[in-house]
Amino acid sequence: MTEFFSFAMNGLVLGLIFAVVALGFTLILGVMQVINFTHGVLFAFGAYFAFSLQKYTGFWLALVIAPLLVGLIGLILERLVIHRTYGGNPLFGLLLTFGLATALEELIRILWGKPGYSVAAPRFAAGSLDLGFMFYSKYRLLLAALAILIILLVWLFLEKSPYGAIIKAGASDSEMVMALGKNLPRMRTFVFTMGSILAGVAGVIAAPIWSVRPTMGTFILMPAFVIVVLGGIGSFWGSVIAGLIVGMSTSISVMFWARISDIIPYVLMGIILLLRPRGLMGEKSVLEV
Amino acid sequence: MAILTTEGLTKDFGGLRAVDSVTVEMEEGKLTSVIGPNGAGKTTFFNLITGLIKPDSGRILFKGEEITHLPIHKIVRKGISRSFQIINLFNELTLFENVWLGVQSQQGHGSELFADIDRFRSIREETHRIIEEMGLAGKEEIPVKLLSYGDRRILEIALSLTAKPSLLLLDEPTSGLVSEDRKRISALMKKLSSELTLIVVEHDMDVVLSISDHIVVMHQGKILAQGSPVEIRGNEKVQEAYLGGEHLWTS
Amino acid sequence: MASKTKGNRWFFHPLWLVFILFLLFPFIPYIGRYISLGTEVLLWSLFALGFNILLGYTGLSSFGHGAFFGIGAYAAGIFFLRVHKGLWIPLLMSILIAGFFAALVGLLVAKKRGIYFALITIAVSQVFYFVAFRWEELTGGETGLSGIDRVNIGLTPLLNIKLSVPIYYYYFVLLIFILCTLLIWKIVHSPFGKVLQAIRENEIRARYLGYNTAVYKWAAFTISGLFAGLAGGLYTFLINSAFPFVLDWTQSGNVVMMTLLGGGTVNFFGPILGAAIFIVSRDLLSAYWESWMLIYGLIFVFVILFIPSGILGVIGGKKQTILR
Repeated sequence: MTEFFSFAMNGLVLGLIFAVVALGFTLILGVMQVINFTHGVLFAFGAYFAFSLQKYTGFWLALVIAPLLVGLIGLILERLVIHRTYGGNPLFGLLLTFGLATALEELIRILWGKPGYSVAAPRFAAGSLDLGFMFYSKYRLLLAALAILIILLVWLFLEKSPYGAIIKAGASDSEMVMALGKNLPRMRTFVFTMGSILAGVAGVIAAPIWSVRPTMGTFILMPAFVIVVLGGIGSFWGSVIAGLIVGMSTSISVMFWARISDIIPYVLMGIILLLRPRGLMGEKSVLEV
Repeated sequence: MAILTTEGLTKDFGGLRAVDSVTVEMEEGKLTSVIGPNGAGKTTFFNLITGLIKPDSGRILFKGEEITHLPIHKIVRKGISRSFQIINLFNELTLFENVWLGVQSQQGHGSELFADIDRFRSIREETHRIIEEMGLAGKEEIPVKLLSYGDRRILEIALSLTAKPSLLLLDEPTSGLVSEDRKRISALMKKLSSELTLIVVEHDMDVVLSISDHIVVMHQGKILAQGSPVEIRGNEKVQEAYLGGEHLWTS
Repeated sequence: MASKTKGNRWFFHPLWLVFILFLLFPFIPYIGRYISLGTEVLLWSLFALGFNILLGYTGLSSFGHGAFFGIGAYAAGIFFLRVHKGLWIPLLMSILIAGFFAALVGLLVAKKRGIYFALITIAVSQVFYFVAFRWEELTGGETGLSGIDRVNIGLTPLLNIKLSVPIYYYYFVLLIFILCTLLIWKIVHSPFGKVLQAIRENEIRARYLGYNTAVYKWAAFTISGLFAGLAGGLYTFLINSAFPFVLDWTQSGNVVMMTLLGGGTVNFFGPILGAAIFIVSRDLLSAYWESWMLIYGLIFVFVILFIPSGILGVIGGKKQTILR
C-alpha cells in the first residue's frame, strides 16, 4: 500500500514538473504557433545553471538566478531568430527551433562535458519526512510545493492581471489578439521569455531528482508535446491537468508494467484525440485552419 | 420549381448569430441576387449551403434532396458550385492548370497515379474551350499569381463553372473591378442565367437591378424582404435598413 | 514544377543526368572510394524523394516520417533474422509493414492541419521509438539487431552476385533508386499528382472542385511512408544491423532538412541534392570535430532563415518558398 502511495506521490511530483514545463510550452504554442523545440534544452540549461551556481549561491538564490538566465537565453533566441518565423508555416518554426535545440544541446556538452552530474538537494530538505504511514523524500515535497507555487503565480498572472488576460486570450485565439492592437512583437517576446523562464525553473527544481545530463531536455520535451495536445493547445488548466495525468499514469504504470510506461502518455493522447480532437480543454482556434 | 430550399437555417459564432432561422426558396432557372449590408450573413449563408460550415439547426434541400450535412466535395458533385468573395485560386499554378484541375475533376479523373497528364485529350480540349469562352485565351501558361486582378476575378468564376453546376453561387463577383470589367461580368452572368440557376451576392446595385429576376435582402442574419427588383426598390423596410449606411441607389 | 518532358528532348532529361552521375560515382577519383557513403546518399535520396510527395507537392509537413524509415529498417532485420534469410522478402516486408503503419497513422492525421498535424506525427513516431526500445524480444531493445547480412542474389549458377561486396550493393541500391525515382516522377506528373499540388495551394478550393481531399492527403502520406520503409530496409542491409536510433525523431528532422535544403519545395530533384549534401557534410563534419552537432544545428537555422526554398530554389531564382 505504501508502495502505491510512493508511486502516486512520485507521479504527482513528476506531473507537477511536467505541468510547469507544459505551461510555458503551451503559451508559446498558443500565442505564436511555434512548436518550440528549444523548450527542452532550456529546461536542461536551468538544471545546469543551478548545478553551477549552487556551489556559490546556495539553493534559493540559484532558484531565482538560474531561471532568469534561461529567460535571457530565450529572449535572445526570440529576438535574434525565432520571431522571423511567426505567421508562416509552422514547420519553419519547428525546424528552426529544432536546429537551435541541437546546437544548444551540443553547447551544453562543450561547456559542461558529456557525463551526467548529480545535484544534491539543499541540506534543509535532505532526507525523508515521516508522514505517519510512510516516509517520503523531503525534497520531493518541497519540489511539489514550489511547483504548485509557480503554477499559482502563473494562474494569478493570467487571470488577474490585464496583460496576462490578453495573453491568456491570445493563447487560444491569436486572431483576437491582433484585433486588440496591442504591441504584438513585444508581447510575443514576453511570452517566449516567460515560457523560457518556466522551462528553466522546472529544470532547477527537477535537477536534484534526475541526473543532469545533456539529453535531459529531450526527455522532457516529448511528454510536453503529448501533454499540450492532450490538454488542449493554449489552455492553462489543460496543461496542468494533462501534466498531472501524464505524470501520475507514467509513474503508476511503472508499478504494474514498467515496459509500457513510456508509451502510456501517447496512448492517453491517442484516446483523447479520438474523443475530443482539440484535447481535454482546448478551444476553437486558428490552429486548425 | 424550387431548386434550393433552406428551412430555419441558423448558425452561431460564439455569441453572434450570423444566420438567423433563414427559410427561403430559390427558383430554378432564375437569377436571384442576395443583397444586404456587410455582416448581414450573406457569405455565411453561402458557406452553409455549400458545406463549408455546418448549421447549428435547420435544413438545406437541393432538388428535393437533403444536403445539410454533406461534405463540400459531395455537394459539388450534386451540382452546386461557387465562386469566392476573396479570390481563391491555385496561385503558384498556371491559368491552364487551374482550369484543368476543375475539368479533370468534373470528368471523373484525379485518382490515376501513373497516367501521363498529357494523354487526357478531352480534359485538355474542355479546358481550352472554357478558357476561350471566358476571354482568357493566350494567358494559359502564366502563373495565376502574376495575372491581373480582373483576369483573376474572371478565372475565379471560370473555375466555379468547370464543375458544370446546375446551381451557381457567385459571391461578389464584381468586387474591385473597373466598370468595363463589371459590364463584362454582368453580361456573363446574364448569359449564364439562361443555362443555369444563379444566386449572386452583390453590392453594385446597378448590376443587381439589371440582371436579377429576384432579389433577397438580408439584414443581421435574417431575411428582411424578397421580391422582384421593382418591389424591392419600393420597399420601405429595405430603404430604412440602408438609410444609415450605404446608399444603394440614387433615386 | 510543370512537367516539361518534351518528346524530342527526352534524351537530355535531368533524370538521365542524375542516373548517369550516380552510375559513374564509384569511378570518380578520391570521392569514388567512399562507396558506402554513396549507398547511403542513394537510399536517403530515395527516402527524401518519396517524402517530398508529401512535403513539397502536397504541402503537408510531417515531422514523423522517420518512424516509417525505422519501421522499414526493423521489419527487414526482424524478417531476416526470424523468418527468412534472404533479401527480397525482408525488403518487401519493409515496404509493406511501413506502408501499413503509414496508412494507419495517415487515417489519424489526414483531416488535421498545421500544428496538430506536425505534433501528432512527432508523437506517433515517438511511440514507435519506445516500442522498439522496450519490446526487447522483437527488436533487441537497446542493443538492437545485428548480423543482418546481405545474401547473394541472382539465378545461380548463371548469375551470382555477392551483395556483401560494397560496390555490388551500391549498384543494387542504385537500381532500386532508379526504378523508384521513375515511379515517383510518374506519380507527381499524373492527374493524382496535380490534385496534390492543388491541395497544397488551396485545399478548400480543391474541395470545391469536387475532390475528396482527405483521401488524397492520406494517400500521399501512405505512399511516402512506403518509400520511407524501403529506404529503411536498404539501410539495415547497408549497416547489417538495426538500432533504435533509426526511429529517433531526429531522422524525421533529417529528412525534412534534406528535402528543404536541396530545394524540394520548388524542384523535383531538390531532395536528391539535399540528401547528398547533408550526408556528405555530416560525414565530413563528424570526422573533424567532435562537437559537430553544433555546426549541424546552426546550418539548420541558417537554411531555414535564409534559403527556405533550398539551393535549387535559390539557383532557380525563386525566393519564395511555396510551402504553405
